[in-house]
Amino acid sequence: MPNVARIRRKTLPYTFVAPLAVLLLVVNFYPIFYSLQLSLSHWPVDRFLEGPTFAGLDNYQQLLRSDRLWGSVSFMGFYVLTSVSLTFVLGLMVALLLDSRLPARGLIRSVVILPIAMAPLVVALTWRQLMDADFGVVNFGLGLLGIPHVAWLSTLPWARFAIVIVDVWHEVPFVGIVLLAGLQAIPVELYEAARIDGGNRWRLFRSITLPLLRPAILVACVILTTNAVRMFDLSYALTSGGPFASTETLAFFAFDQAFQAFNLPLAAAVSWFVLALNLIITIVFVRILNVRIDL
Amino acid sequence: MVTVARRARPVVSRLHSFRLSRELLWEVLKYSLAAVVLFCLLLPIYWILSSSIKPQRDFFVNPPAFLFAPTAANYQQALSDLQFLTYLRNSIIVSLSTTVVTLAVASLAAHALARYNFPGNKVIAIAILSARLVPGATMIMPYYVLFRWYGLINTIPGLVLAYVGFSLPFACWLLYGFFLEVPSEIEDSARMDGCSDFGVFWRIVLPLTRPGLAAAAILVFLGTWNEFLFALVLAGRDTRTLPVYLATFIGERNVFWGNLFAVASVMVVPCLILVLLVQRSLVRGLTAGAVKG
Repeated sequence: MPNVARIRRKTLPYTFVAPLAVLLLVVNFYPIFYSLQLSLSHWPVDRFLEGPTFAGLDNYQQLLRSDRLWGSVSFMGFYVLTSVSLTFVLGLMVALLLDSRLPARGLIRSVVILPIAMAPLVVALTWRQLMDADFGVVNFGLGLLGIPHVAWLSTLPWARFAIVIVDVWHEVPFVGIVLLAGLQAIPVELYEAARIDGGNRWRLFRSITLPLLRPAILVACVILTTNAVRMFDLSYALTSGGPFASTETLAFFAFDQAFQAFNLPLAAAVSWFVLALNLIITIVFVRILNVRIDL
Repeated sequence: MVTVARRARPVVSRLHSFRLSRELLWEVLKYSLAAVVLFCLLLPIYWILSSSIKPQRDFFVNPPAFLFAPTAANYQQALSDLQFLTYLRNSIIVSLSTTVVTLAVASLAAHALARYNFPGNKVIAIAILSARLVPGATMIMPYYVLFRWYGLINTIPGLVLAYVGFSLPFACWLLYGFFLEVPSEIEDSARMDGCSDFGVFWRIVLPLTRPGLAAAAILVFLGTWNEFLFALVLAGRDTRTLPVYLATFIGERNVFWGNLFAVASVMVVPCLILVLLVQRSLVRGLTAGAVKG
């Protein structure tokens, strides 16, 4: 009998992880590798029923030669740089604000949390109305300041900025909350000691706050950047990728190839491109900030 | 530690008043920043809610109509639309089933990873982490093809399966952190008292990690409820969810903004209330991994 009990104890963890392992294999890893196989195939629409045939690296070669890929890569570069840096700076300001003495701080924090609950699609559609060239609130506000009307969503470079603004609005609260948690984990005694030593505000911020905030900064930056690389909803709902495909992200490009042009293999190749970028960015951030990620 | 040279504090009164005015400047700066942040965050939310009771013609005036005669017509039209009701029902079913399945599977696995040392646990951990790095946009093409083959396309279970795959790695990672914090002594003493292994999980671990479970549940629910791309591709005419319905409003020459915002309000308001109710757990969930390191 004790033998049975021992075997039971040994196999127990496996019964606990079994459902997860099966689901991960079936719903995550099988499709991922299928997509790799797909990206190495030809599958013309007119021979859809015959299924894909092996084509080597054809799709990747075609991809690297296509202007549209580099167009969306260039928009992505612009979008990731501006949006992530702006979101980070503003988020840090919000976090510092929420960490300071302020009446009704709890109430303000509740307001800051609200956008986190909202669908990117809803946010995009709302801003589409707010940024309407003729009847929008944004242009009305600018008008009050004496700034002429801007056709935000249909002209360059404004369409690109419009997407950045909307994204920043949506993500600043999340970054603010993450950084706030980081700030609150810093022991107050450190600040007190430094203040007695005569450090000023800026010095305190530079030599205590920023270094100790590193894990929070890593989490915020990795999530922000990978979100930016895979962004789809804002392009779709704000500008539909326009004008002239200038606000097309890689995910939008992949979607368009797959379900408008119906070139699934090429789309799969694009999506592997996105996946590779995601991995590289995560590794770079982990290296730069020198933080260990454990499960 | 900080090594700033010890310096004498300024005692001259002129310097003192100078410092006072600087403090004042900081306060002014702080309050104006708070005001700007509140205004910027609340305006779009106010706009969604107010626009849902705005008559269609008031969307095409300049200056924009901040005050108008409210109407219930937008909601009446939405609620009398059978499509809307179907999609609302789909959204509820899909989001709730995804949350339940994900939490059940993820909590079992996270418990095993946090508590038992077994051969292969590293492999599982790496699998979870790497699955977490794969963007949804990468999964959508293979899902589309495979779901067609296996007859899962345009079905609610298919959609749920895709969302479970999407949220499992994240939920597992989140719960693992919470489960680690449960003191193993409590579990051991429960086992002494004759509690089975599953009993330990069910009666000790789960009740003790309620905030973590709540956070995971909320984040999975929100992620599913708000997701657009998967639903757009994998759902058919009868299995669409609310975001896909919402997107059909745009692209036409004449956008029915009032109806759009009524639907958007139905989608957003429950989430806003939910988030406010469970703020504390939600913040803990969002910031997991941000405070240790």
